[in-house]
Amino acid sequence: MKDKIINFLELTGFTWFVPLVKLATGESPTQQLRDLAKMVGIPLLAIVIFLGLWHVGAAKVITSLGQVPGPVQVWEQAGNLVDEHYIEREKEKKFYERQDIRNAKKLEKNPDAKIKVRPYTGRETYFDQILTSLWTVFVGFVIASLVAIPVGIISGLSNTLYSALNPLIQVFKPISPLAWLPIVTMVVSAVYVSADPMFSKAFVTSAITVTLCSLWPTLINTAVGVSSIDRDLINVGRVLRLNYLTTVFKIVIPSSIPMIFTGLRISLGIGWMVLIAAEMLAQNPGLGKFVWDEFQNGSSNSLSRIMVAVLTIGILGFLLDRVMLTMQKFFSYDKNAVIR
Amino acid sequence: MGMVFPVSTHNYELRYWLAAGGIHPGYYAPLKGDVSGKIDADALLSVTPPPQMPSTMEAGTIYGYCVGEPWNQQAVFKGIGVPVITDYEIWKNNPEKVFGVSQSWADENPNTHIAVVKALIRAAEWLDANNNGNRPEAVKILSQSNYVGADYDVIANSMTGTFEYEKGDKRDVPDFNTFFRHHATYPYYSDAIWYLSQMRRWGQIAEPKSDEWFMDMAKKVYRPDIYAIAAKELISEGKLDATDFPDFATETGFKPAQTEFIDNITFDGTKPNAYLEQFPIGLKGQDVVK
Repeated sequence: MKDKIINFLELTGFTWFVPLVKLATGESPTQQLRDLAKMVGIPLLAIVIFLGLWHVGAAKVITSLGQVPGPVQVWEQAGNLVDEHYIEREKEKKFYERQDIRNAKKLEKNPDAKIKVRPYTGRETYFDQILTSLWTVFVGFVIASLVAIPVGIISGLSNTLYSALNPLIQVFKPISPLAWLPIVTMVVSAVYVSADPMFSKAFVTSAITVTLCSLWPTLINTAVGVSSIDRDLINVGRVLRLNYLTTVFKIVIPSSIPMIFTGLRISLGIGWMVLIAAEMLAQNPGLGKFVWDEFQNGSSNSLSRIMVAVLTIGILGFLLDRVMLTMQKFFSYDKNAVIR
Repeated sequence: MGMVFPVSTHNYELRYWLAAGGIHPGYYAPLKGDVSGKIDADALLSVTPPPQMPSTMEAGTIYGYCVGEPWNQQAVFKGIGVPVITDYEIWKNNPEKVFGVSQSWADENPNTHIAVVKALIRAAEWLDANNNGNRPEAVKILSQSNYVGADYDVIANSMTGTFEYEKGDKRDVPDFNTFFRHHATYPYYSDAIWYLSQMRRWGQIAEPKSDEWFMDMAKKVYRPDIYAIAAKELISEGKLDATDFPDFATETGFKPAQTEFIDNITFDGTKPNAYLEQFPIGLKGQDVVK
């Protein structure tokens, strides 16, 4: 049981909880406390010093929107955002209650009356915006991976294809998402026309921009990973006369998984950064739009709220990276390799 | 200087004020492809998004701007600028905002159209009710971050019957925002024709047009008939009184000749071309931008 928990913690990268588990089972407490001090104490001390410096430094800079917010103001605004979320949910509940009462009265008077159930059109709360951002980056990232991994595998295996694609990849790789955005917006507006679309245009634009910017690391890393697998393994495939698809699925993919996942991790990181910029301009209702709207509002607590969003973006990026790391460790065949 | 948009009320008010002071604000020449509005200009006007106007002025990119609230009070609050004049002083009781819909939407949703107009009339009446008594609550709603989002005090400065011309110089201007008083919600044709005349004055309407053309344009876009339907429904529902509205049977849609302009030029909505002849600066008669 204890070993299972320790294995899980090491798999997910939360290694600093391991000494706590060992302490709980009474395994050499002094050693665990020393480990704890090293793994947890030192980072905590660094964070506390950072907060202190932030608090002191922020008070010194006065912008036209007021003083730069310190940790205290940011914490207050985070609380405000949570409160606003609950207030909005209350409003939504009351709206549906009022609608139900109205519809019930209508049916009482005339049992055949057509009643309408309208969805609530209130504002999105902060948590809705977080979910929208995560969903958009997920969609963009999945599309990017579905394109990049097959293309990467084929160009890794075939030298001709690689030299054909390489110049295109190198030219498109450094293009910033903000440069793609106007083109993507125009193309989506022209092509994605329908009376009742499932996804809003802003969502499609943001997701496609994420795709265009995050497929390059996966593509390149997959190609490099595939082209650097052990020649012996390919030869085994030839000896056994395996057909192309079997070679790919049984030999190529399993041995290049580490490189593919490295690419995926970098892609997700880049995709998350790109998403915030794309959302600001495409007005997809996520964290990017939240930051942009707060900036446009210019109220005295706008800067603090933007800071809350900045920290949220950082923490979410960290968590996304952790998820990818866990998946990478899970899929890797070489359990002894150190993957950070 | 900054303004909101080439066809915004702010653009025309800013140009009117500059021209009244003898400064040429520039012509448009859309037929020649020049829509920057800077031909022959003494003062260059450009488009700036309202929320960015205080910071753009602070940065020195523009020397001034014409915009709606709260961006003027925002500049006063931050000590980066002062409002030198309000449009109440340029043209007393001028029209500012309209509710516009596309013809296709109006055709597809006639009942919703009337319902929305009724809601707007009721909201306007509430805003002016009890001698501006409901304004503090209105300011609280507007200061929410999903609406205007500026601070309560900044918005309250112009919505609750005062206006701060400079830090410490707060004057009583009870009609600074009028929503319902003086029949403010009624779509007068003369309002539309004033804006059309200014568009002609600055070249956005590039060719000379007859007085009938101005009237026809106004009648196509301003719809007092829809307003009357909504108002009559409200009166029969008992929510508002017939005295709150102009007399629909006799109203022509043209206000009597208006004289309260900053340069004392009289505006008669029935004679737009004669009105344009009175201005020293601006296109008139058969003029075309060269």
